[in-house]
Amino acid sequence: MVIKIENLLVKRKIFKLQIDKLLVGQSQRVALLGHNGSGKSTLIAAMLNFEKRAAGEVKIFGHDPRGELKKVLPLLSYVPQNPDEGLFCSTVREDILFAPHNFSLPYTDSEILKKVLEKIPVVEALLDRPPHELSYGEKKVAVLATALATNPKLLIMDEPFSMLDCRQKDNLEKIITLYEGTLVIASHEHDRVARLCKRFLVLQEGMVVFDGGMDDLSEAFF
Amino acid sequence: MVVKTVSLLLLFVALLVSNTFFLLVILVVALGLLIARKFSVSMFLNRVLLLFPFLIAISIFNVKMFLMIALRGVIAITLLAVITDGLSISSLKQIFRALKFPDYFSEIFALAFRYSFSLTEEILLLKRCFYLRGGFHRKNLLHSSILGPIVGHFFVRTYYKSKRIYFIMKLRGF
Repeated sequence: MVIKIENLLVKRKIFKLQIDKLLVGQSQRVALLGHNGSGKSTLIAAMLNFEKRAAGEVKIFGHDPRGELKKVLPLLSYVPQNPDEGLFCSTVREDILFAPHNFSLPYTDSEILKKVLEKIPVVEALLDRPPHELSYGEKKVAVLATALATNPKLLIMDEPFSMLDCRQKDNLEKIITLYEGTLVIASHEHDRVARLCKRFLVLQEGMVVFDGGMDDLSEAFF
Repeated sequence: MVVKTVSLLLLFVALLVSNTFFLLVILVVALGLLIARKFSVSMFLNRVLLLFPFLIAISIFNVKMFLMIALRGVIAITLLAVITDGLSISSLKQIFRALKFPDYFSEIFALAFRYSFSLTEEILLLKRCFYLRGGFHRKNLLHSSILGPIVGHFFVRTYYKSKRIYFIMKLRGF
């Protein structure tokens, strides 16, 4: 089991996230759907230990991120909604190589860059540019490249399509389609996640109100 | 290269010397070097103006201390502009490593440089929204009921942003 959540409770001032049980298996592609404020980003934050848990258990690859996050870090990657938060080096090349260097991956820089460029060829033109000179769409692509550099087994994405034009959304969708590991993606782009994912979790007011496939989702909500 | 080396030496001297006359001489030399490099005056003045709120915060109760720190601050900004002119941030990091500066120093410097652009963007966005809503037509701009919440809001946003950036850096093994 890649992600195992049981009896999770995250409390904020006027909001509570409550998940009784959530299991995500190997190579599953899960979409988190819901209105603004339903708890999608909070659930992702709780998975990654960004948010303190009031109660419950979260395990990623069998390890609790609260105390054992370092053990799972090389296996997972996170793509934030705001790409500025994920680009903190002087150039895009350094950002891509940041995590592989920290985790001492057994590949040379050129091997890592070659693998990333195979998945996202457009990044080649951005490699030696500083992040502050990139357009928003270019930053989104660059931050995805940094996430894929470690060849993660689990990819968590928070609103990857937000504030992009149609063409850039199409490009991003193509890249995510080619990703082979376990995927958790929070998004409002229902059409796109319907093509990318097989399992849909609908959150409402901090609770999972639906967990199933596309056919059941259409019956329940449309 | 010679100019940059002389500038670096002048910077070290300025940090060590406490005589006002010598500091003024160094400032004149530094400004001369800056003018010779054809550095943009407005960019230079913007950098100097950014310094003053911090100076006031540090030395508000002591005029002599304020003047001394202001003088050293302007010298440092002038000479750093000469030293870093034409150098990329990656080159600067290599220079710091060659000068045996601790790694965390060059990392913090690079991070500060990177996010100074984000900070500037946030300030410009706030300014733009303030202007579009008629903010600058108000009679008393320095009234705390206007500026207080804006400045507070800005600091809260930057605090939460830096927290999220730190978490993401941790996720990538920093």
